[in-house]
Amino acid sequence: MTTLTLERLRHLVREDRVHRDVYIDPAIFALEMERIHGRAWVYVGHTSQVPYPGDYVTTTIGLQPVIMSRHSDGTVHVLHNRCGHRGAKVLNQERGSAPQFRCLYHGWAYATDGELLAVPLPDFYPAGYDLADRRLGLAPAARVESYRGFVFASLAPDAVDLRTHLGRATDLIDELVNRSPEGEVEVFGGRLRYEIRGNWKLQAENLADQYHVPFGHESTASRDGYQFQRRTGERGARARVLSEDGNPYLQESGTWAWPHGFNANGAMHFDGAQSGPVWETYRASMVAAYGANRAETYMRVKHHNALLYPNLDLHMLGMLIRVIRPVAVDRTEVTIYPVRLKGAPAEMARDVIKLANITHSATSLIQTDDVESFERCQAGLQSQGSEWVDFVRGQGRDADDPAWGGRYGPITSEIGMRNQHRAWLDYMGAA
Amino acid sequence: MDGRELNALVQDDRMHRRAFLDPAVFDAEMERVFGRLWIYVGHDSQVARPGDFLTTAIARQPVVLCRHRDGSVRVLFNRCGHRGALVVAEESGNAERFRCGYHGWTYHTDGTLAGLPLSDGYGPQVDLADPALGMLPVPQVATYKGFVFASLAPTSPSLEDFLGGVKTSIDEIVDRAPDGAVEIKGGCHRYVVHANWKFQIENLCDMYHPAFSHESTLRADGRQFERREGDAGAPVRGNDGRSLSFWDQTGMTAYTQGHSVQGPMPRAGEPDTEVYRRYRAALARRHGAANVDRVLTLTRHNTMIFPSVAIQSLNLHVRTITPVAVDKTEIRVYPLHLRGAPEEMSRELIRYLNLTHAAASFIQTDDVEMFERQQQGLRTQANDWVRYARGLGQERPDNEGGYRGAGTNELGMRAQHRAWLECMTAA
Repeated sequence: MTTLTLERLRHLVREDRVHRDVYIDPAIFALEMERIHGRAWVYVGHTSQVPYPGDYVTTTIGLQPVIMSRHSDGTVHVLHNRCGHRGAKVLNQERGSAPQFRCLYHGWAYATDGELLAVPLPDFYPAGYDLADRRLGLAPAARVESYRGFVFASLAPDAVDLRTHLGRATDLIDELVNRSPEGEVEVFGGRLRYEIRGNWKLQAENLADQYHVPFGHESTASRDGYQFQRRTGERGARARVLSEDGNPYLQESGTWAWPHGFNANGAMHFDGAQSGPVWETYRASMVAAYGANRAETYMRVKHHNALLYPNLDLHMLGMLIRVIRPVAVDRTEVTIYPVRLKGAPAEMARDVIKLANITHSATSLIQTDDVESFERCQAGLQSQGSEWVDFVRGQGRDADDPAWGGRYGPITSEIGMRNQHRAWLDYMGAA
Repeated sequence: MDGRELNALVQDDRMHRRAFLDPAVFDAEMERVFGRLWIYVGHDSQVARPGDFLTTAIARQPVVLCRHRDGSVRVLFNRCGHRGALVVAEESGNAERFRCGYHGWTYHTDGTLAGLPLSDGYGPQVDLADPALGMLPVPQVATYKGFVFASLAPTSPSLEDFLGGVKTSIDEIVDRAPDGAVEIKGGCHRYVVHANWKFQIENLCDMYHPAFSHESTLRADGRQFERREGDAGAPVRGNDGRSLSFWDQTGMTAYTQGHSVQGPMPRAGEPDTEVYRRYRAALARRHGAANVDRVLTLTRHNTMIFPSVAIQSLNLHVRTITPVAVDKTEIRVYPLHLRGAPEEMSRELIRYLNLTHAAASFIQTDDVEMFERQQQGLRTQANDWVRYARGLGQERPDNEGGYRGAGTNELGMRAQHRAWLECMTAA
């Protein structure tokens, strides 16, 4: 195996192309887990998932199992999910509530902030062996910070603070959260989850990809593709992807890119506006909360989705949080969490679930198309016939966008993917 | 991996998580631990007749245990002398000769090449009698009371020296057989665990975990099954509201070779059944009536013979630990039958192991869950050490070459780690 020198990494990831090894080499994957997920601010969960003391959810940062918990003092903690004794994963449910976290193996019990509470049969430890040693507890993630309920953690003690790291990407979180009359969103209901036999970057790239829509989703996006109602107040509105002359409408939109691999895609165009009693109730509560002008601004979907590299996607249109968890070089777990706007009519939350079932469940009309594409990519990249994956579309046509503070790539530019690859090199130490 | 790197992985009271996660450590283990020590291969009763064979692996290398026509037991590398294919693909069976599926080369049960099709295609410069074209024997094979071990090392201390203080575990079990021999027959329980092999061998000298991991079975109302012929669904005593330090009273002995022996668990009384009386009568014929109680008194629960096999005395079985990858281990559980004991006891044993050690059982599944949780938990970077401090410095030498400590102490694991480090850093 070739040693992964920085020169090698720079050779593999170019401005306009990426070598297939980056998707199929386990050594590169291991290095990504250390240098990207092991250093970046990684989204862990939303505070609404742990409303009460003792509530927890389990997830991973890279391949490392972690817990997000609500401590008895109300604070939210992110802890390594690993018993201080023999290393067993302590919490094994996806979510739950417990006054303390107890390891199954030998019964060691931890407080919800990770402190070791009790060791059964504490005799027999040698004199001077300190069972109160913090290192025997569930170790906290090096850094934990949140923005409007979105909890991020970093395993790098020297990471810059989250707000600085997010930069203008806070606008993207605001765009979602400001649609609530109370200025808060909640993760609610269950989640949709699937495991893909493909590299995690295939999903991340797809979330900056406006080019695939008319093709990857043709069954839905073609002119007769009225398969479902998209949002509250719509009657089976068609996403205007292709115009009458056959050119993609998406050419009116584009992709924004910010530092650290963040990107957002422009909003889709629809036939027909949202209307009806539920919608009007919602509009009224927004106007009451923010006044007519801001309400109008807040209610308008400005971005279709936003990827906060490397693992969080905000689906603005569908009101979903999507989390990308790498499992192995050729395996990725994707979880979709519906989001509810606090203070909005309950019918809208039901519509969010209904739409998610149609677009993002295991037997849906949209995400399944993408999953199929990812698996075809992973399989195709085994071929040595061509070494390179191409990302040249729109190169040289990027421009600064003063309104959003990032770079903007018009039409179906692959700027977002190039931006991810720059961040990749940066995290890997090879920028 | 050099000695300095390896020494950094083991301290008296801890082992570095890398020892369980790093494929490079695993490769070194296969070369230096499983590649050098005596590894249990099978029991000679599994290959009772000439041509009987059983396949397994030593240090990831496939081998065949078989009985040659001269009555000797052989351990052969399971690899065709021609193109390297696995010759014997079945788990067990009987064959007059072993025939490779690829080009039909056939081998005697001592591994010598018996014949090859179209041999006239080879010119005089090719010596078809060259032993290297056969299935080569594993360098060393030795047997203790029917338990067959093999070593990939050309020389090593004798098997009896290697077994040392745990020979008596085998002696005691064999004494309990009215015919003076044990046998493995029937099938086995087999499962592949997504976890490092060391988690299983550590668990086999761990009396600290049962009260917690096996709580559903062991708590006061946990009478899920009868343990032995004649038991009335007896719980393991000690968990019924009294001190958990019951588990300490069982005791633990560890040996420098990395072996360990757990003391016996108290039982809920001697069975008094017609079958058990027949069994006692058969033992009396062999040992004399005065010695039957002594022979039936278990002095141990479980014996872990580092690194590859455990023998449980209470509910008789042999458990083999076969590493597959750094995070994958195959475990097989073979019931161990007492020759000359009533057939009903054999049936009870199988039924019992179905409850405790089958893929859908009450006990071993708890442990397997823990091994997999360890493998996942140790991925976290915040805490590099796995802890084994319990009872550190409190073990005392016994008079038979071992060190004794309380049952829940982690001295057996510490002995495994010292033996591991010695193998890994040996020249």
